[in-house]
Amino acid sequence: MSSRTTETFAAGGHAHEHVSDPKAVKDQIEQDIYASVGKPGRLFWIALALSLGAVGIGAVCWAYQIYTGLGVAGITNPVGWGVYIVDFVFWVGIAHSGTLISAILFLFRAKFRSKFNRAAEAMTVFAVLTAGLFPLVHLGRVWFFYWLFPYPNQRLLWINFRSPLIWDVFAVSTYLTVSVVFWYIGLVPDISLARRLKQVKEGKIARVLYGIFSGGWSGSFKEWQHYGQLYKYMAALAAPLVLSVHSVVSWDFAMGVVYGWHTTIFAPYFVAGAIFSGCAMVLTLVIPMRKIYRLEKYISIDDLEKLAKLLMFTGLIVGYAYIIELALAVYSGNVYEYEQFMYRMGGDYAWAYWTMMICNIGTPLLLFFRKLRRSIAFLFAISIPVNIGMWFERFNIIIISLAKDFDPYAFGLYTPSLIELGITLGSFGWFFTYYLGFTRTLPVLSVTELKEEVEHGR
Amino acid sequence: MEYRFDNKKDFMEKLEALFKDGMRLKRMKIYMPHPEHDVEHLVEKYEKPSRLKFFTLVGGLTGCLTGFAFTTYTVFSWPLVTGGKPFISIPPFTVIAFELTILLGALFSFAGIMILARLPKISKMFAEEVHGNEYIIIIDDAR
Amino acid sequence: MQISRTILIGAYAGCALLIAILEWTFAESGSLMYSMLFFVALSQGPLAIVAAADISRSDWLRAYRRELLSVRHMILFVTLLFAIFAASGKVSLYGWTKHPNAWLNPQFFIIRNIVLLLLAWLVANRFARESLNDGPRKTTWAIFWVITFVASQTIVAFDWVMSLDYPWISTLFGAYFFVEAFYAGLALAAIMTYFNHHNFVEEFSEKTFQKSQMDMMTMFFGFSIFWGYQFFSQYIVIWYGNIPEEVAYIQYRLNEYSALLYLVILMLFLVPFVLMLSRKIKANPRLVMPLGFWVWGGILLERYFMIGPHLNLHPLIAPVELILAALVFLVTLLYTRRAALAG
Repeated sequence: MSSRTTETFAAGGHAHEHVSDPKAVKDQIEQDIYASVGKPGRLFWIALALSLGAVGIGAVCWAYQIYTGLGVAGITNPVGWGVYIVDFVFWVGIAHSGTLISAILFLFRAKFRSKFNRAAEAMTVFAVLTAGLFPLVHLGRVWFFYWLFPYPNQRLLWINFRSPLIWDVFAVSTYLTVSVVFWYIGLVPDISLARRLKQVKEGKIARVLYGIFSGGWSGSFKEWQHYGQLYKYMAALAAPLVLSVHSVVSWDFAMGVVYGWHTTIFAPYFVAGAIFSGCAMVLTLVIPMRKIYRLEKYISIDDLEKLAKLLMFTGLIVGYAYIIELALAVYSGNVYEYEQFMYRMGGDYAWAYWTMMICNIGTPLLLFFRKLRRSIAFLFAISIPVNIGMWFERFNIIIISLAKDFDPYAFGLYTPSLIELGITLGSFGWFFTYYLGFTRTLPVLSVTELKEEVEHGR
Repeated sequence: MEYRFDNKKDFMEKLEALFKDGMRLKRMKIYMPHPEHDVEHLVEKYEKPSRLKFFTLVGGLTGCLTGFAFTTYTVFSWPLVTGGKPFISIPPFTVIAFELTILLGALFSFAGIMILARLPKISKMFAEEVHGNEYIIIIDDAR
Repeated sequence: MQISRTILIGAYAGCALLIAILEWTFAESGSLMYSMLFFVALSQGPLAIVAAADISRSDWLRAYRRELLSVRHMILFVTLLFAIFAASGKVSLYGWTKHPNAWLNPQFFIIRNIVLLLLAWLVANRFARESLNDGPRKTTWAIFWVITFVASQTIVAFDWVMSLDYPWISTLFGAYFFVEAFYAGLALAAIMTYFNHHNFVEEFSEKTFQKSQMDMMTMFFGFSIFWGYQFFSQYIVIWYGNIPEEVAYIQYRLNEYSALLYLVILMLFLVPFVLMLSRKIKANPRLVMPLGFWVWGGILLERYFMIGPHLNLHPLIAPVELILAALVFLVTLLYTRRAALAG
């Protein structure tokens, strides 16, 4: 195997013309990407132990909450939606950029997509799984969660389809299903390749599992023909879905007549915010992964820069929405709306508001500098304040608006309890546990697509 | 008879020649390491394109109709005004119908590939047969 | 057709003069605002498409770059129209002029709009020069253009339209306008696909062009969905909230213009969406061209839906002014295209 051919591939984008021996390059891709499957190192076990530890803390907190009652959480009147709902929105948001990268960029044939799509789709699935926990955590009697499903209860009453919370059930479960299917479709050919890996052949159970999940994919023309169509249609279905899901989440708030919630820009603004935070999370996950699994020659700085541009772009939309909301609150002369925004900026939770402003408006602006955009360390560093900022955005929207509404007699403050924070920590552990598992069991880049690109440049 | 190729160009030339000679997919198996649009275009000159889109379409329409029909049915199964909204509240029901359109569209499409490509193939799940990164044409000479 | 600089300036001056005469002679309000509202979208949206492609370094734009950039001088004409609008005292049709405040007062209203439109025109020119450059392409001005575009469309939305209903607000309105401008730009691309098909094919290979066309039309299709989405997300919030001061905007229009509203949804969402599901339609220049005009028609009607209740459109002057502006638009397209080919 000549290393030269792969290096030209690594140069990315337009260098493909020089590939002299496509088959050798494809073999090399397989070798490189599948190297991460199996054989966990010490770092992996440490990370896994930390994540599982966090899951343990979260589980204990939740168990305590179920046993004692919802009173152990800080939520009370008037702030009936606390950190749990913040976490829910945060995790649904994280999920979004995965679908954006896999579906929308696919439809526009953006080349850098193939460098991130697998990891981003995995992130989507795991983030939705995490988000899905929070409506349950938020329930006082979690064992009655099935009351949300559309069936007539014992008095033959159906659920209320006019309630945004029910839309949420439909939107999030559709989203989970479609992302899983979309992710799995992309994985099938790669899993069928994994069957013949040395690492896999040695373990009996692994081999059986890979065999089953490959569905007997053999790479015949007929299969590829339908696969190509299927992938396109799934992308076409997932693209509007991604718009709808976070819009529906935003309508959980916007349908209410609470000031700070009830505003028309919420849907697109939430979607942009979701993609913003999701891109940041992709950077958080992919940059260490690229280093640990030595994927530098596949995920180039150019690719990361494109992701950084997407981050900057969505960040600017979010900034635009902040400014518009504020400006129109002043413009309209509506005292409640005006008070709400003054309270955000200078009230009890001003620290949260300004954290959000600095993280979400300040950091994307730094990306205007090409040097910073192309510094991997900086990109990793910036991805974390963006995530923090986006968490606080939801905190501001949900908690501040509830803490101060129309009647001064009903104003009240909210402080998250340790239980709530423990469960939040647990959700991070839960998410990272899945993700770590993914990096060691499945190819972290789409091998099929990388191979396809080898031919495309020719 | 079996042909193996390392690169796409030779493979496509051979394939085109075979098609021109009247060979059809019925009597030949083609294996590729990844999807290839050029090959698809070539083959679709002689063979039918994938019919998967009908599955997507039917699924989407079913979902959309189900969404509107289901929500409308439930509000009339015990008419009860909630939130001062009309019984048939088009905007909320649109949300439900939309989500179901996507859901069923996606699931029908997935079912579509299983039916059209005859997946899953249990016999092949544990097969040792390996095609690697070669382009392969296998012609069934039985007849 | 060869259009020289003289003809261009002549057309601008002539049409502006005619419109000015119409405005001063007839005591009618709104016709000019209506033309401006339509052409402000058409003059800025196409450039934003190019900027988006430049910034993301995508290659789907290929054949359309020059065609879309050629609308840029229309921004100057819209500025001229706005100056006529302001000079003829038509600002008084806004209710808030009776109770001006720090933001909504005639002087500041006129100044900020003229400044922003002129700025948009200047930035558009710099951006076009940068984008038409054959060498390695920078994107500095593309970014500036996007910012100016968003600011300009937002101010248009809030000042020209939303303030008619003061103190009614919808935070989405600005975004609604720049998305719609983008949509109008894609409609222009659809129209160009047909009228410039010959030139396109001569310049690029048939295959390259078809690919580019397919991408553009996919985007056109995508924006029909996006338009529907934006419309819906504005409507549902207002409908669901049902707050008297907010819902009045929709209520009034639904009572008076319900047929128009359905027609707008049909024109801007349902018809383009359903038709462009088919790959064959997207690939056929002869079919996408009427769709482009159809969408323009939809936008025109929608803008009437927005401002109609407040302005008395003169049944004769409004179309005349629209036609004059359209003529200028056509001349602009032809002129800039020729200049680009020569230079």
